[in-house]
Amino acid sequence: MNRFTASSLWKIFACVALAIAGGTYWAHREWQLSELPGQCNAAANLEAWEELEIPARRWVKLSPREAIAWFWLGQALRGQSRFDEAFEAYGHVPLRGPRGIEAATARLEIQFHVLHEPIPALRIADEILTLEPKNPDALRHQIYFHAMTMQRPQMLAGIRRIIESGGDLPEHYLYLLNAEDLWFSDGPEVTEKWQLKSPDSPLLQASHLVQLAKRARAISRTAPGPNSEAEFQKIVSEFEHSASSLADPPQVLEFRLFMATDGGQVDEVAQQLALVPDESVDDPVFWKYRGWYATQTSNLEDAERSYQEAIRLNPLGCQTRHEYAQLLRTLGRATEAAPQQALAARGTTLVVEARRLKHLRDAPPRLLQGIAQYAADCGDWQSANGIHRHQNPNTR
Amino acid sequence: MSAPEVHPECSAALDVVGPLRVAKGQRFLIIVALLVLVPCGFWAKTGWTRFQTSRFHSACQTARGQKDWRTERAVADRWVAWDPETPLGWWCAAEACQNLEDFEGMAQYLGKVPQSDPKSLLAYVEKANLEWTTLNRPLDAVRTSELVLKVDPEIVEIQSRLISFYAMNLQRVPMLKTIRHAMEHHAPSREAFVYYIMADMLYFTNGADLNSRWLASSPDEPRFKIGLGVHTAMALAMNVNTTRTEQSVELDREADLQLDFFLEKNPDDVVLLTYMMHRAYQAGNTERVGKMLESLSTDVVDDHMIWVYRAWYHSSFQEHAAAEEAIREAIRLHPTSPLAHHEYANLLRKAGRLDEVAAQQQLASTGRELRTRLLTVPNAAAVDAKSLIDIAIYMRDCGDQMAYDSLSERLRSFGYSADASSGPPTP
Repeated sequence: MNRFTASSLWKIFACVALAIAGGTYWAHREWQLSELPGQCNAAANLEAWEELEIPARRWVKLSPREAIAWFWLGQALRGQSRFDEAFEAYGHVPLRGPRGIEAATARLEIQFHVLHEPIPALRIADEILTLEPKNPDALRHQIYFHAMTMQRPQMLAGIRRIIESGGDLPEHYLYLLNAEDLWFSDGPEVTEKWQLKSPDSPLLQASHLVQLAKRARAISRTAPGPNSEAEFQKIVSEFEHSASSLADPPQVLEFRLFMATDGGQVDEVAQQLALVPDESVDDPVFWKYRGWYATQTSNLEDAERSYQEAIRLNPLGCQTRHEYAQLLRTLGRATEAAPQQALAARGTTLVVEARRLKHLRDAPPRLLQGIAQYAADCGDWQSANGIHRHQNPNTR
Repeated sequence: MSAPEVHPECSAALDVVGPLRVAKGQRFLIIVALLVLVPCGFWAKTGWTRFQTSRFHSACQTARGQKDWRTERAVADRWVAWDPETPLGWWCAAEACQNLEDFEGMAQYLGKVPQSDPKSLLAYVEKANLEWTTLNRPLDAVRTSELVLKVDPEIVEIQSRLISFYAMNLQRVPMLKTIRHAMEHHAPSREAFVYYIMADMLYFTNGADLNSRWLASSPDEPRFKIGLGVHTAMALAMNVNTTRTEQSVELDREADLQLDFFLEKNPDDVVLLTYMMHRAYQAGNTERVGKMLESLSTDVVDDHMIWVYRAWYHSSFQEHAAAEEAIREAIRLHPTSPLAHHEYANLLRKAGRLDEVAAQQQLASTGRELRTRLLTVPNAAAVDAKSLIDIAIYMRDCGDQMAYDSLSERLRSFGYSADASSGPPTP
């Protein structure tokens, strides 16, 4: 007796067919998954970004939880300058996992340089640094941002940290050299882009105002004339108008102190110094202004302590050394004043030379060698050693 | 003394088990089991080790293929933690660090490559090179270089770095010792012969810069402070000799005061002592030289220049025997010393032994001419073949056979011969 009816035979046939189809699909998928990493890798090595996108997309489709697939897709899109899509793709790569740091670094760079959103970008940098405290890319972005926004204590600490970890760049020593008067020729443009993306950030607003004002002042000093002076005065009045709405961020206070000491306005300096927040205790420039004020009010002991603290915080500060030398001369300690004055003069020469550079990245070895020597003579061995490490010595 | 009492419970248990007797068959089984299990265990362990090693190796290779250096470092870290004796794990970790630009990490990993690895020397050489250059850690570099040379004294690159370091740091005795060591092992670099002939008074135009560089890496290291101080003082003294101005004289005086201060703190430092003696010798200040000679400790007697100044001192007081003893010691320590031959000639002249003077005077003047010529070379490595031939001849004339043989061998390797007494080089 035939136990199988036609219908049950069909069912068995359907099940077998399904099993075969499923098995074939599974085998094909596995085969593809085994082939895709090699294809991605080969295309990435050739920097063939459009070609890379094809296997990367297929991989993401087949295995949407695979972090490396998203990483390759991010690379492919970034290579084609499709930054928004790349940013999104990199976002699927968890930090703690394969390619996590590379993907986070790529997101940091896109957000910082392409999207001009440094504040969220630096949050990514912080995440990277919790996992890899010596990560040079994260540290370099932090330093650049702190320099542009004139957050001096953070910048100085960041540079010390990066020198220690060996990820320092030559321009970091130029930041150190110019730490007393942080402004950049492209500063107003860079901070403007940032401010446009984060219009509510008082930090970015203040940084942009001060960068503008400092550049205008530098132009009026290096190329004096009625136009440049008028331009500077115009920017200062705009600065005062806009800054009045800000809650006295250190950058604004610093610029006001700068203007007041320049004009010899002792009372104004006293008023501004009273507004300096506690967290600026590690800012050498406020100690320098305090030294100036104490000197003007004949509180010479306090002046000396202030200058010494400023020099401790920033040994390369040539303006501070110059003022300190003057104080020492006032105190009748000419033998102590002479080396300070000599250092101040050397530092000033180096600052002038550094200011002539088109970009800080273009610092010639001779200038760096001079900074290394100056740093060593100022007792800043860490900086001197850091610069020497960048230079290949002729030991013969 | 009574036997120890057995606890009643234990006693009952012993009764149950009875006397422990293992049958012959059982004993045989135990032995067979042991004979099987021990090798099996060993094979299992070996197999597991090989399996793990191949897994780590393959993971590192995959990561390397994908240029995923962080993964390679992480895998290599796990690998060396599991088996620190694996050279490949350390190499992979070092490679990953190199690509991540973590040169400090790279040097650390290279230093841990076990000596059992046939390529370990290469790792140490790379580590030394990093320490000499990118990391600027001269003290570590000296240690690593010495380790390398202990294993293989014929590595010219490291010999050369070490010799140059001692020369630039004005450490005459270790420099000559390292050069002789290199000569013994047929591994001196071209510039080593220049330093050898210039050993009486070491000075380099870039010496201050290099000592300054090294001092930045170790600000408390007196050797670098002294190297920098002496080089600076020498440059200032030369400046006074060439362009004497009020300012240059003042700077020279200040430099001398600085060195006096260093000498107070480091009374046994041979670099300082020999330089200060040289200054006093140039000024004809026997009293100063005498005082410094009196204060000498026995540690510095290996320096031939100390004996030269001692000879000069005795000679100036007509103490010919003592002077001759001293100058002979100087020549024994460094036969190719023009200044020693010069002082010997002076001594012989004073002692009235005029027939012996000419030979010593000839050696002194040839040496001086050679020195003058070598001072015009832009750097020691750029010395030409003609000068090297002349140095070889001078070495032979001074009776420094080992140095002569070494340089002759070197010249032959360049296609030149030092056998000709003088004249143009013969390719």
